[in-house]
Amino acid sequence: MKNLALVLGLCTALTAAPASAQSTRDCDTFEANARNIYPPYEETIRHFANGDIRLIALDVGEPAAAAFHLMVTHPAGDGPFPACTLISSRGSLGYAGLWMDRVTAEYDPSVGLVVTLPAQVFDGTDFRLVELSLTVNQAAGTVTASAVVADTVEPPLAPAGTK
Amino acid sequence: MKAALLLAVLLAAGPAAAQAVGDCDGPAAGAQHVYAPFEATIRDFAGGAIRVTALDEGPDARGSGMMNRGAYHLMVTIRREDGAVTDCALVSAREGEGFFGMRMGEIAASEDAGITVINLPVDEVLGGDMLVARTLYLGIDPGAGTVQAAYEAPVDPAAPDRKETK
Repeated sequence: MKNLALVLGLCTALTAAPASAQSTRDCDTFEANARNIYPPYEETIRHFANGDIRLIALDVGEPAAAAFHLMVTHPAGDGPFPACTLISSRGSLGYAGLWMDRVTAEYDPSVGLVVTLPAQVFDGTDFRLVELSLTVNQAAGTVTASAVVADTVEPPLAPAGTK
Repeated sequence: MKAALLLAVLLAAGPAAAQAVGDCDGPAAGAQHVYAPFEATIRDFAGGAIRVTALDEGPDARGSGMMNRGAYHLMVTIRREDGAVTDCALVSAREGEGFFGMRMGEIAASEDAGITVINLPVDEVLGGDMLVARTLYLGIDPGAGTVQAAYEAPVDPAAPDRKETK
């Protein structure tokens, strides 16, 4: 029985989709330009932690399958002014869609603010639905991002907002 | 903050300083500079073909003491009719420096012969310690993708020195 549980646990671990790290960069790139914000702004520009952390969705238009990026403005740790981190799927390639109307946030004292939202990525062959997770540590001034394929999740409606 | 600065407020007396209409490639044009309330600071005109976005570079750009600087800029994006091209211009008090304040809640627009004229009350810092209240006029031609800026007088869209921006 103990061996069976061990085998089942191993199978579960092997079949669980691994979280893939997302690209994080500073905000001095063209994707981070204010011309790329899009409505509805109450959904695509979100405030957390009394405004100390902001999440801004960006749409650069091309390539259509990887045009959406996320900007996070956040405390810079020791720095007096806010820092800015740009999140993309891989390198400079963004997401095919962001469901900003389904953003959720939760504070975990051990890691910081954890923001999640559904996103769509193009893996070169197929469009995949992923659960995107951002962790903002205000004390350290860091942002990390990961994504887990979540194709089994009920497909949401089309991403909100157009440029 | 403004009261503490003890700045002299003038009512646009004397010659108007030149405003800068530049491209949107610099750090002042970053999306991190948008600020709430968005219904006032991000405005659409001309049926959505023109979007005006207020940007605030923040306290690190503002200076202090007797060396105040303007940190507010106005981004104008124009979507051409064919949808294939979006022009962008960044309007500042002068090259490299924004306005000290922009009253986005008082922005107004009118249209004449295809030109959208936007007027916006702004404050400009002169010499680091003098605050001047002005009205900024923008003449925007959605068809040509051009933006012209001037203080105090409506823009003549046929003016030969109108600035082309991409």
